[in-house]
Amino acid sequence: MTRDQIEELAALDALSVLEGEDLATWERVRGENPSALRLRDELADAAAQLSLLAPAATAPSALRQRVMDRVFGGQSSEKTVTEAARPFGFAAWAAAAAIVLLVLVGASATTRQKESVVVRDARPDPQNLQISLEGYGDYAKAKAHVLWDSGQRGWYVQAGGLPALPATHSYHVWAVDADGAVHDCGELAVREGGLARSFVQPGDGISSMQGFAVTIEPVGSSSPAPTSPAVLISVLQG
Amino acid sequence: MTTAPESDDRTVELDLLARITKRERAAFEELYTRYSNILYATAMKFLKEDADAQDVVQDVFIQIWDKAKLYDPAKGKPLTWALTMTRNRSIDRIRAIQRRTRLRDDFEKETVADESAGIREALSGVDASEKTQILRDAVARLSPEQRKVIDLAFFGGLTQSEIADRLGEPLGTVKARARRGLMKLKEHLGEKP
Repeated sequence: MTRDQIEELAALDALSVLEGEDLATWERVRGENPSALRLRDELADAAAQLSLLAPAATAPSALRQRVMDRVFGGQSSEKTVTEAARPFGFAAWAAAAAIVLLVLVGASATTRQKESVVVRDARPDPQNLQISLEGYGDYAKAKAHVLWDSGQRGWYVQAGGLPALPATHSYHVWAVDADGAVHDCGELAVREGGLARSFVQPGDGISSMQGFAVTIEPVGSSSPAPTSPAVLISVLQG
Repeated sequence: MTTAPESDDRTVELDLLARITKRERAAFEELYTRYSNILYATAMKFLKEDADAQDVVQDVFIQIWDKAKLYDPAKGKPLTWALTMTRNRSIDRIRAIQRRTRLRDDFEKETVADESAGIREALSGVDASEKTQILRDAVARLSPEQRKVIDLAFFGGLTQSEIADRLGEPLGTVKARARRGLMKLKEHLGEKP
């Protein structure tokens, strides 16, 4: 193997982009060649300094206490920020449509909206649950996906095509549990281009999740339930 | 721009790590004070989400507490070690999300914008410490093509074949650019005291 080839594998490993056959080759080379491993470490050291170019940010003060509790013992030692929610039973998804529709679209929705419900996804795979949300009315071009992350014990919400709102209002994510109760999952902040992404955890009180919806709420509202019809909603075929 | 501990603090940080291996809480707390902001900023750069970034930083500090004895000074500075852990954990998280969701195509436009902005945005910063200015100078010496590949690899968390796909370039070209770019970066950074 030439020096250039070794440098190339070392650089790719330093950047953590190696895969496949190259990775296997590198594993062999570095085991046989201490200087290759040294070069890799030097390159990794150079690459790691790129982190210093990250925009300044201050770690939240609560994080310090959480880390100290976790390391030295304390009340919050068992949970990370994204660990709190319980998983939902995937079989329960089969009953989601009616509940979500009734609770979140409910009496304030038009018949046309109810009829336009489209089933997008209800895969019975608890390791890879994904459900699509459809937009309605003025928000028909919007779409969203909610994805269960079993590793992080929560849901990723990704949305696109969301129109900008006046400063007085914001998009809000809601989850519906097996009993039809609605749970506040927090604000869905829209970035440039109408895109939004959020990680949500409805809380410990949920034993199984049935569906999700997005509504428009007044900024700062502490209402325990949606105050407006859903603009995006996940439903199953009924 | 993120402020990092100066390089002459390395001795202090080595001492802190040595004390952490002896389970000294005060040493761990001091290291947290020194590193928390930069590690959090790094995690935020990758993950964009506060909750995810906090989880990564928490994991890294737990790792430091548990594995300080495994730190090898010959393999780099203590800060580099911590930054590497932060980046690796952030990328692991990104890749896990990507695997589960398979939604990259739907949001490709957003992702590309975020990734390509990495080094470019950093280079445009004005509030630089001497250390970051040196780094910026080194990055500025890379060709645009090398910079792009390293940007996608380092901040984008993509694999080599994903970078090739994204850029529409042969895999061999991407690998060569990564090698030349990173070697050049190492040389330029090595020139500085």
